[in-house]
Amino acid sequence: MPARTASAPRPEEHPPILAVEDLRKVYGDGEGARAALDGVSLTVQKGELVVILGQSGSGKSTLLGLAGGLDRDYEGRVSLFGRDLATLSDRALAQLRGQKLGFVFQAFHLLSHLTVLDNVLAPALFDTSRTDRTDRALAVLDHLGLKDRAPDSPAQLSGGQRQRVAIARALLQEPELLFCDEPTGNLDAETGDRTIRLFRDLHREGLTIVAVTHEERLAAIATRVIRIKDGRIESDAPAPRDDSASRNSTSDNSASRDSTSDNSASRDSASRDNSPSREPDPLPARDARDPVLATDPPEGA
Amino acid sequence: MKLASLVTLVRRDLFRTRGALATSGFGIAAGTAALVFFLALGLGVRAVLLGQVFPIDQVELEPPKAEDPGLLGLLFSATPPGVEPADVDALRAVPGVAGVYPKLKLAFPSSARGGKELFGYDVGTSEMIADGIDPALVKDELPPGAFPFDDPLAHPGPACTEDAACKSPQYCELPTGAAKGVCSDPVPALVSRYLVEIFDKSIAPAHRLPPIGQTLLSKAAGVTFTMRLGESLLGKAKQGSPRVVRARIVGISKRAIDLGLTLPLGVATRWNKEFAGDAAAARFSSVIVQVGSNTDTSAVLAAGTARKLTPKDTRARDVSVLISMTMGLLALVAAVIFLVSASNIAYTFRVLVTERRGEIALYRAVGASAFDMRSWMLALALVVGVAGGTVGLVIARLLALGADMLAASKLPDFPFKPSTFFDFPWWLPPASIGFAALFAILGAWGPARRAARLSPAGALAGTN
Repeated sequence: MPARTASAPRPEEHPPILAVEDLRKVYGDGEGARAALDGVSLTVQKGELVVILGQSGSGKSTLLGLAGGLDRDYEGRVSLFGRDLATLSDRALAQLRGQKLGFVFQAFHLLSHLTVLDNVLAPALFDTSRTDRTDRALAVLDHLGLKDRAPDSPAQLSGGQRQRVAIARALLQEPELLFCDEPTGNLDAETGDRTIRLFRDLHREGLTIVAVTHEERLAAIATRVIRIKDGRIESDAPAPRDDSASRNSTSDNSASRDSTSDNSASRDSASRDNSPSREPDPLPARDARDPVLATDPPEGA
Repeated sequence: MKLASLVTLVRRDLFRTRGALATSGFGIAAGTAALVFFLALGLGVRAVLLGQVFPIDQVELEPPKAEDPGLLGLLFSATPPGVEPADVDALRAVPGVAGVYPKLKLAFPSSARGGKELFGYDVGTSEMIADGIDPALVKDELPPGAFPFDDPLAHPGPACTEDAACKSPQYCELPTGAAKGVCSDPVPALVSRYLVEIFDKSIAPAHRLPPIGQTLLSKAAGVTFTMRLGESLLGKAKQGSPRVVRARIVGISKRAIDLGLTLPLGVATRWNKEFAGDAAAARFSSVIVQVGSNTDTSAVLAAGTARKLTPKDTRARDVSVLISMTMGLLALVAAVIFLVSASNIAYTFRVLVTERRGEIALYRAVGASAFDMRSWMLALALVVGVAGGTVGLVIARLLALGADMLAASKLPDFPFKPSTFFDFPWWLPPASIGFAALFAILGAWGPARRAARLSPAGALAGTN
C-alpha cells in the first residue's frame, strides 16, 4: 500500500462527503420493534477507504443502505456531498446515486437476461445527461480484464468475474464514493483476495470506498476501520499500517502502469485531490503483471 | 430516463416475458374484438334502421290528436286540427333546422287499383290513404332521370274533357264542376320501404304474390295505376264528384307515408279543395322538420311544443333507444371482458414486479427514480394494451367480414337488406385501441406503483 505523502492534505481538512449523525433505524413496531441502528454517527472524508466490520445482524448493511440513500426510512441525519438526504426529492436522490455513488453487492445482482456489457451499461439507462457510454463500459471492462467477455451472459462467468462485472457497473458513471456490501462474501478465499486487491487499487486511484463486511481481511487495506455491534459503533480508528504489504503493492502497482493506458476511461483526476495515492491515470489498461488486475483463472467459467 | 432507455427496457421485456405478456394481451385482444364487433354491429344496424327505415334526422310534428267529440260530434262537424302556415315559418327559424316540409293528408275517401306490370294482374285497395309532401323534401333521394316528382299540372297538356283525348299514359284532369280539363301526366307517387316490407311479409304470402325484391323494386318505378277520388268502400266525399285519375309510382322514399301513397303537395292541396273544401286545403296535417344533426332534435321538439305540435311518430326514438340499450348491453359485455383482462394484467404485472424486485432495486441503486420505474411498468402495459387492441381490432374486422359473408349467402333477400351489417367509423379503431391501452394501464397501475415504492435496500439485501 502506498504511503500517504506528506504533501497530501489530511482528510479532516475537507468537509466530509458522507456524514451520518445520530442515525437510528427501527424494524417493526410495537413490542416487536427492533433497532437495527441506534445512534450511529460517523463521517467519511474524500479519499478514505473505510471498512465497517461487524457480525451478521449487527446493522452494518442497514447502515450502508441508509448512507447510500437506498433506504429513506430512518431517524437522524444522513448527508452526502453536503446534501441532507431527507431534503432531497426522489428524483434528486436518484440522480445523486446515479452520478456520484457506486454500489457493489455481495450477491452481485447481475441481470441474467443481459450480456456482461449491458449489465455494465445499466446505470447509463437512467442517466439523462450523457450519451452513449459503450466506449466507457468497454474501457472499464478492459481495465478489469473482462473486455473479451463483454458479449457473454453472466451465467458463463465465474464468481470472481461476476463480481468484477458488478464492480465495472459501479464504476461506469465514475462515482466519487463506492459502497460495497460484503463484496467478498460470495467468493472463495483466493478470488476474494483478488477482489480485495482490486479495491485497494481503486482506492489508490482516488476512489473513496465504504465497505461493510464481517471479514477481517478486508480491513487490511482500509485506512480506517469501524466496528459495529448491535446497531452501535464499537470503535472507529485508523487501520494499522502494513508497511511490507504497502511496499509490495506499491511496487506492483507502479510497475503496472502502462503508457498506452486508455485515457477515455479515466475519471476526473482533479476530483481526487485528497486521494492517499493519487495516480496520473486512474483507469489504466490492465497489466498482466499486476496480480490484482490479472485475469482470474477460469473458475469453471 | 430518456425515451430511448424506456424503449430499451420495454423491448427487452417484450422478448424475455413474451409468454406472460402474450397471455395478458390475449385478454385485451378478446375485449377489444368484442367491443369493436358489437359497436360496429350496433352502428351498422342503427345506420340501416334509423337511416332508411326509421329516419331520425327528421321529426314529423302534428297537431294534438282530436279529442273524443262525444255525442255532440254527431250533430256538429268540428274542424279538424291542423298546422298553420305561421307554424311552418316559426319552425324554419329554429336553429339547426335544415328544412321544414309541410304534409297534407288527403281529406276525402279514395281507392286504387293497378300493378298488372308487376304481378300479371291488377291488385287494389278499396281504401287508399295518401298524403302530399313538398317535392323539395325528396329531390336528393330520387335517382336522376327517373320520373319527376312534382305536380303534373306544372306542365299541363292540351285541354280535354275525357281521357281518350289525351295521349297515353296521360289522363284528363277534369276537376268537379269544370267544363274543361287539361291532359296531365300520371300523378307521381312515392311508396315507403316500410310498405314494401309489409307487402313482402304479409300481403304477398297471403295472396301468393311474389315478394318485391330488389329486381322487382326497380321495375316498380314507372308502374301506373288508377285512383278513384271521392269514393271508397266506406263511402263518398261530402262534396265533389267521384272521378278516376291516373298515378305512377316514381320511387321509394323514406319520406313517404308508411302505409299509403305520397303525392306532390300541390296535387293533394288541389284535390282536398275539390273534395273536402277550402278549409282542408288551407292548413297542413303535419310538418316534417329536417335537422342538421340528432342533437338539434330537442330544440325542434321544444319549438313544436310551444306551438302545440307534438311528434307524430316516436318509433325512430324508440328504435334508437332500443339500439342504444342493446349496444350498451353488448358494450357492457365487452367492458366485463376488459375488466377481466385488466385484472389478468394486474396479476401478471404483480408477479412480474415480484420476480423483478432485485432488478428494480438495482436500477434504483444505479440511478433510477421511482418515476422511472413506474414509467417502465406503465409503458410495458401500454405496449401490451396497444398490441392487444390492434390484434382485437383485426379479429373484429375479420369476424365482421365473416358475418357479412354468411348474411349475404344465408339470409333471404329483403328490400333494405344492407351489403354490410357493420359500420366502422374512422374513430372506432383509435378509440378501441385507446380503450385497450387504458384498461391495460389501469391493470398495471397498482403493480407499477408497487414497483415505484419498492425499497431498494430491502430488495438488494434480500431481507424483504
